[in-house]
Amino acid sequence: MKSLLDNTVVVVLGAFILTFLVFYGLDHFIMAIQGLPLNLNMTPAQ
Amino acid sequence: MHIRLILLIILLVGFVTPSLAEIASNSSEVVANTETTLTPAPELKRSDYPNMGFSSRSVVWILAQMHLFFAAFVLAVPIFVLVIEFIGFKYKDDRYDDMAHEFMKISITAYSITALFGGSLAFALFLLYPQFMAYMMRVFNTQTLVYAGLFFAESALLYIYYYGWNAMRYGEAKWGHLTIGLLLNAVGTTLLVVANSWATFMMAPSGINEVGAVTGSIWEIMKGPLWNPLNLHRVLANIAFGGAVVGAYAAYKFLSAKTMAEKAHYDWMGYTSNFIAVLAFLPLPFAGYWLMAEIYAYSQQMGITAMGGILAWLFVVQAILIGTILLSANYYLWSGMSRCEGSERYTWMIKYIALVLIVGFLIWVTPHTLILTPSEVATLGGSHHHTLGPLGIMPAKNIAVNLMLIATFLSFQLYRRSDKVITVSWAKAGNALMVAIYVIAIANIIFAGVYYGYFTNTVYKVGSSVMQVASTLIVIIGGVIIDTLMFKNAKTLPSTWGKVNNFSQYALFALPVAFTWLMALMGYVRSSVRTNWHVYTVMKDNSPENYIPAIGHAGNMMTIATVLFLLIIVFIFWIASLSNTKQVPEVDNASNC
Repeated sequence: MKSLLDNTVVVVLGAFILTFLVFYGLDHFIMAIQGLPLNLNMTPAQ
Repeated sequence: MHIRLILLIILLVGFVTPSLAEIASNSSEVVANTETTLTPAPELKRSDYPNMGFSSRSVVWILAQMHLFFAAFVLAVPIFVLVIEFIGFKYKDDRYDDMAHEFMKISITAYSITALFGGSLAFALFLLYPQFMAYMMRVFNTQTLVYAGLFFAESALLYIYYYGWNAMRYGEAKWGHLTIGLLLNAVGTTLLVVANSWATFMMAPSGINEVGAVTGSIWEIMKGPLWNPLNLHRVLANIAFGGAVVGAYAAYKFLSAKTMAEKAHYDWMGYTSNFIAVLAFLPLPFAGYWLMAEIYAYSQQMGITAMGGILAWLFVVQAILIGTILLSANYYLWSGMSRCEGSERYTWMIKYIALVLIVGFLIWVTPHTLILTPSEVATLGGSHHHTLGPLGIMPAKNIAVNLMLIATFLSFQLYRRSDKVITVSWAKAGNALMVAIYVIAIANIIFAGVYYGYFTNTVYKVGSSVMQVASTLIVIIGGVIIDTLMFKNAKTLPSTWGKVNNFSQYALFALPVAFTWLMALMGYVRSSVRTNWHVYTVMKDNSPENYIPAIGHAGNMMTIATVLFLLIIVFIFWIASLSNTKQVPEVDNASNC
């Protein structure tokens, strides 16, 4: 585990994937609470 | 002795404030219980307005604006002074305590000027708009006495806080002093929100019926739909404004400093002031957005008057002023990085930050429509420019504003990192996470602005702007949290306070000038959206000046108020410096012989 965290590629990729998922979830949440749900591909849902 | 004094004050404030509130509440109940005598708002005729031979509106405008400038300043300064004082106390660093005391010295002179303008404004309003003021007194009733009581409490606490500083400087007495500071801020903020309720009642009245007769309690009258958005907006704006004004004081003292020690002190003071101004300014556009959204929710017509009608062009002027603020604040931070050799690691990024700021600024000032001659329309092929036209609408401006705020935060973050060497074991992961947050937040802001702004319907366009705001806030909050954790046990590189170029100090002068003008400008917009109503939809304004003033005239009025305020501020700086000056007694040569 420690050696994995020393690997720059793993750390950077991990940080980007984690951040992307947080923002993706947040976008869905923010639009949903305004009554504007999104499809998985971020287009407006009906 | 001091502790007893403090307890007495707490008891007095605690006793007086609820009593006044009770009086106000009782009187509201009396009004509510006598519904049979509901009195509508008066319908005014031209003859109800005294003709003094000069423009009543202009007199009230200038006095109200001056009162607001000074009130904003004196209410804001104690907020950050208390924080600085507490930091000094916690870390046992007298430098913080001295700086907080010096900030208060500037504020205390401004306090009496605030009261002078407040009194003059009240007289002018009762003299020039007697029927309107009679109606406002009927609506707010004894709440105005609560306001007066709070003002007494504010004055007492302010004087004890300032003049008792050295008497309660150390040990347990310091806790007493901090408590007085806290009470001062509680009373000051209450004063602000009470006064805000008068302004928001005029824009979006509540607690009355359709003809203006009082039907609700004082609380229902106060808590109109715009009250809290305005409260938040004004508290943040006041802190940013207060920080900018004391920053100018520090710059003035820095430029006139004779010794290196003085330069170092005022350089640090200027940095702290800029830090306060920028920190309070960053969330301000979001508070403004909330206020505007609530205005639209209350009355679409009012919202369109503000942002789609005659006043829309003022938002372009607003963009120029906010652009000036951001460029000045960033320039100051970049210059300040020269205090530390460690900043060389980050200076390569400055040109990219500057590029984002300038491009964002240009997009923000791009108007949607232009006043064109027929030949210009023919040359252009329509009223909108093919390439620049899309940059004139809100989605483009939302992207620009959010990216400018992120760029400013990046400058701020680089400045804070420039004198540190991070030593935590997870530094690589922390930096990677910070970079990822910046990149994905920026991509999210651009995606939301372009896709929902131009390729979906209007509802999604408005809704997605919240996504953009959230992205910017995540960068700011995430950055502060990550840095705070990463700075643990960080190695600090030496910084030389006072080693900064003089040009950076001019940036500190530019900030209050732009802030003051901006407040005058947006105050004019906020007040003008009522159009020809004293109290929107309830009490018509039938005075000779019951129209939205032309932009040129408004520009002159704002400029007069701004220049007047700045002149008085220079006077206050001079007075503050004068108190440190001590005349050396003349040597009598004859007697010596």
